[in-house]
Amino acid sequence: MKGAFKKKWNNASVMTKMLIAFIVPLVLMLVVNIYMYISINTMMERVDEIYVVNVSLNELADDLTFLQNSMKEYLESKSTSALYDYYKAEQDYRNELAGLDLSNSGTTVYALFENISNQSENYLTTAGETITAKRGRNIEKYKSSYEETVNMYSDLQSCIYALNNSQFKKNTSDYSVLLSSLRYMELITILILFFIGIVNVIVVFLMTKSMTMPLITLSQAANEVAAGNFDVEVPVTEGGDEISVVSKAFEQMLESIQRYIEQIRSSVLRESMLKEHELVMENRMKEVQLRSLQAQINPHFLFNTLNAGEQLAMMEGAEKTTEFIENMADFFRYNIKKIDNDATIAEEIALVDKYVYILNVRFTGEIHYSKDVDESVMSVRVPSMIIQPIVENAVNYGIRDIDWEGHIDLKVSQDDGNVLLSIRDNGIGMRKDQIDRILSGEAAGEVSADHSASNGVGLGNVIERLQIFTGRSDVMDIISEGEGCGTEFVIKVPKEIRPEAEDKR
Amino acid sequence: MHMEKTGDKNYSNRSYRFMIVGTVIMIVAAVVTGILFRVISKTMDSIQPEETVVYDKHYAFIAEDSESDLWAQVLAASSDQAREYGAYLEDLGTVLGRDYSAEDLLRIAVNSKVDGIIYSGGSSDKVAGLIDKAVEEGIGVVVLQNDVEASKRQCYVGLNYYELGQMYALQIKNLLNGEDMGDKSVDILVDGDMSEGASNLIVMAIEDNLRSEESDVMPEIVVTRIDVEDIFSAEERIRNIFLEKDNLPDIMLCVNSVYTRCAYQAVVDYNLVGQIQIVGYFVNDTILDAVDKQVIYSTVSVDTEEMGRSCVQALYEYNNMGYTNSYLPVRIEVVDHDKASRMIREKTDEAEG
Repeated sequence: MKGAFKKKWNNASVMTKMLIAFIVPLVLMLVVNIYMYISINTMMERVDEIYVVNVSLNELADDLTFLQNSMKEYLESKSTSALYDYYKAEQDYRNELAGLDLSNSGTTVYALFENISNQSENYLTTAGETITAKRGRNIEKYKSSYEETVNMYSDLQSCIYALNNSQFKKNTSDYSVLLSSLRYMELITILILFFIGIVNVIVVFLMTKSMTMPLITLSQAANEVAAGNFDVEVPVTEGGDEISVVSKAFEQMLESIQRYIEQIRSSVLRESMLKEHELVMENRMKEVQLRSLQAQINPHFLFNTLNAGEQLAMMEGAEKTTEFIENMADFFRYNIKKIDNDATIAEEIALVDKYVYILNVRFTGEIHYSKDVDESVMSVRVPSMIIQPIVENAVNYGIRDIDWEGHIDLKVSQDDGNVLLSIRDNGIGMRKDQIDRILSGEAAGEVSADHSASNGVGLGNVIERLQIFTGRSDVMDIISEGEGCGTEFVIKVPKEIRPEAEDKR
Repeated sequence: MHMEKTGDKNYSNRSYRFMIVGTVIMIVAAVVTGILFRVISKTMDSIQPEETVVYDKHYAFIAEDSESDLWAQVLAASSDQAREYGAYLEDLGTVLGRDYSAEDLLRIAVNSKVDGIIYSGGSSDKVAGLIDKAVEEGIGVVVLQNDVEASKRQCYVGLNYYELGQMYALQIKNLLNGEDMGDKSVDILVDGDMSEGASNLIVMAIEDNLRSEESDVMPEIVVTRIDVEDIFSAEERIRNIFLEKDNLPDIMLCVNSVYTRCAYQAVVDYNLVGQIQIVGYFVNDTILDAVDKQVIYSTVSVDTEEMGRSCVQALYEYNNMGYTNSYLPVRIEVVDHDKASRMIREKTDEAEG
C-alpha cells in the first residue's frame, strides 16, 4: 500500500505534486478550523443560554411589581386604565410564569419554583378577590385582602429573588468555567494554527526545494555542457515526473553527443590514415611507372619488332630463335600489362620462367633454375612484379660472379594461412648489415640506381608494395649464412587479403 | 569524458518523505487539538444541568437557626428519610437565603401549598393560626422540640421533659454527692418560647427525684428564660448571671446546645471551673471536649437521627393514612466524663483507621 502510494507519488507530475503539497495542509487547516469553529460556537451558544433564566426571572419580578402596583392604583383610583393595566399585567405574569422551565435545574431549584408557582396562584386568587371586592364596594374585604396580597407579594418577590440569586450564583460559576474553557480553546487555537502554519511553510519549502533542486542542478549541468565540459553531474530522479523526463533526456543527450564525437574522431583518424596510405601507394606506383617508362622505350614498337623477328625466325625454321623471341616478347608484354595490377602467383612464376629462359640464352645456360610449387595456392593474388625482381637480384648480385655453378630455387608453399614464396640462390650471400638495410628500406636507392641492368623494379619497391598490399610490415625475410653461402628471400603473403588491405590496395 | 550521477540524492523520494512526514506531523497536531478540545469540553460537564429528582411529596423544613448544629443533624436525618419515601424535604430558610423568622417561613410554606411542614420555632398565636390554616388546607404539620399546643398540628416530636428532669435530678444528686442541698442553687436555662408546662415539668421531675424519704430539703431551683427573639441575647444573659457574683448558682442546667457552649465559655473566662457545675445539652465536638476536660460535668445527648426520621415518618403517615401519632418521644441519654472520653477515642480511631 505504502509502496504503491510512493510509486504513484514518484510517477506523479510536478503539478500534481505541488497541488498535493498545497492542498493537503490546506485541507488539514480547514478541518481543524471547522472543528474549532464548531466547538467554540457550541460554547458561545451555551454562554448565551446561561443567563436566560435570570433574564426571565427578572422579567417575572418586574411583571409582579407592575401587577401589584396596578392593583394598588385601581384600589386607589378605580380607574379603567388601572384595571386594564391590572388585567394585562396578570396575563403577562401568567405567561411569564408558564414560560419558565426549570425542570432540569435540580431538585432544590425546581422545588422553589414550585413554591413560586403555588404562591403565585394564591396571590392571583387573592388579588382577584381584592379587585372584585373593590368593584363590589366591599371595603372591609378589599382592605383585608389587599393586606394579604402585600404579604404574599413580599414573600413572592423574596422567593423569586432567592431563585434568581441561586441561579445567578450557579450561572456565574458556569460562566467562569465556560470563560476559562473558551480562553484555553482560544490559546490552543492560536497555538495549533501557528504550529500547523509553520509546519506547512517548512513542508512546502522543503518540497519545493526538493522538486526544484534537480532543475537547478540540471541547469548548472547544461551551462557546463554549453561551456564544453561534459564531466557534469546529472541529477538522479527515479520518478516519472517532467523533471525526471528532462533529466533522463539530458543524460541520454549527453551520452549521444559523446558517442557521436567519438565516432567522428575515429572516422577522421581512419580517413587521414587511409589518405596517407593512398599517397604512399601513389608515390610508389608513380615511381614504378616512371622506371617502367624509362625501361620501356616505345614498347609497342619493340613488341612489333620482336613479333616480326619471331615470324622471320619461324619462316627461316629457326625454332630456338622463335622460342627465344616469343619468350622475350611475353616478358616485356607482362611488364607493360601488369605493372598497375596485381597478378596470380601462377602468372608471376610464369614470368620468372620466361626471365630465367632469356637469361640462360643470354648467359648460355649458366643459371640452374628449379622450382617446387604447391599448386593449390597458384591462384592466390599478389602484387605483380614481386618475384622476378628478386630473381633478377639473385642473378645480378648472387650468382653472376661466382666460380661455382649458380643455382636458383623457387619454392611455393603455405603455412598458417600464408603463402610462402622462397627464392634461394647459392651465390655470394649477404652480410647482416646488408640484409638489415634492405629490409628497413635504406638500400632502396642503391638498388634502384643500378637499374640499367634490370627491368627497373628494386627490392625496396617490392617490399613497400607488399607491405601496402598485405597491410602488414612482416612481408619479407632475407636469410643468408654469410659470404659464399647464398641467399634466400622468403615472401610471405596471406592466402586471403583482409578488407583493410583491400582498401589500401 | 564521463557523467557523474548524484546517486544519493533522489529528489523524488525526498519530496515524498517531506510530504509524508509533514502530513503526519500536521495530522498528529490536528488530533492532539481534537483531544484537547474534547478534554476541555469534558470540563464543561460540571456545568451540565443538575439532575432533578422526581418526588411524590414536597415537605418544608422550618427551624429557627438558634441551634444550627442540632438542626443540621436533624435535617440530614429527615432528608434521608424523605428520600427513602420518595419525597423532597426543602430547607426553606436556607433556600430563601434571608433571615426569615420561623413564622414568616411557615406562612410562605403554607402559601406554597407544600405537602407537609416540619416546624420548630415559636409557639405564638400567629404561628398556631398559620398551622391551623395549613391543616385546613390539607397540609400535614409536625412540630419539633417546642410544641405549639394551641394549634391543630398533627404531631409533636420532641423530648419528654419529665424524663429530662429526671436525668437532671440524677446529675444533681451525683454532683452534690450527699452534701446539704439546702445551701445549693440550681439555675435551669430554657428557651423563652418554651411553654410554661414544659419548664414546669422539668422542675417537677427534678424535685420529685431529689425528694427522698429521709429529707425534704431541696436546692433552690431557678428557671431562667432566654429571649430567643432577641439576637445574641443568650450569650449576654448568661454573662449577666456570672457577673452577679453574690448570686452565682452552684449548678447550671442548660436545655439548649447554644446555652451550654455559652455557659462553658463563661465558666472558663471567669475562672469558675469547679465552682459552677454545668450539665449541658446536645453532643458536638466542643461540648464533648469540655466534658472530657471536666469543665462541663455531663451533657444530655439527643438522638437527632431518630428525631429527624420520626418527623418525616409522621408526615408520610398522615399523607397516606390521614392520621398519625400526636406525640413521638425522642430518646435522650447522659454523656458523662467516662463516656465522653470513650467517644473521643472512638472518633480518633475512626479517623485514623
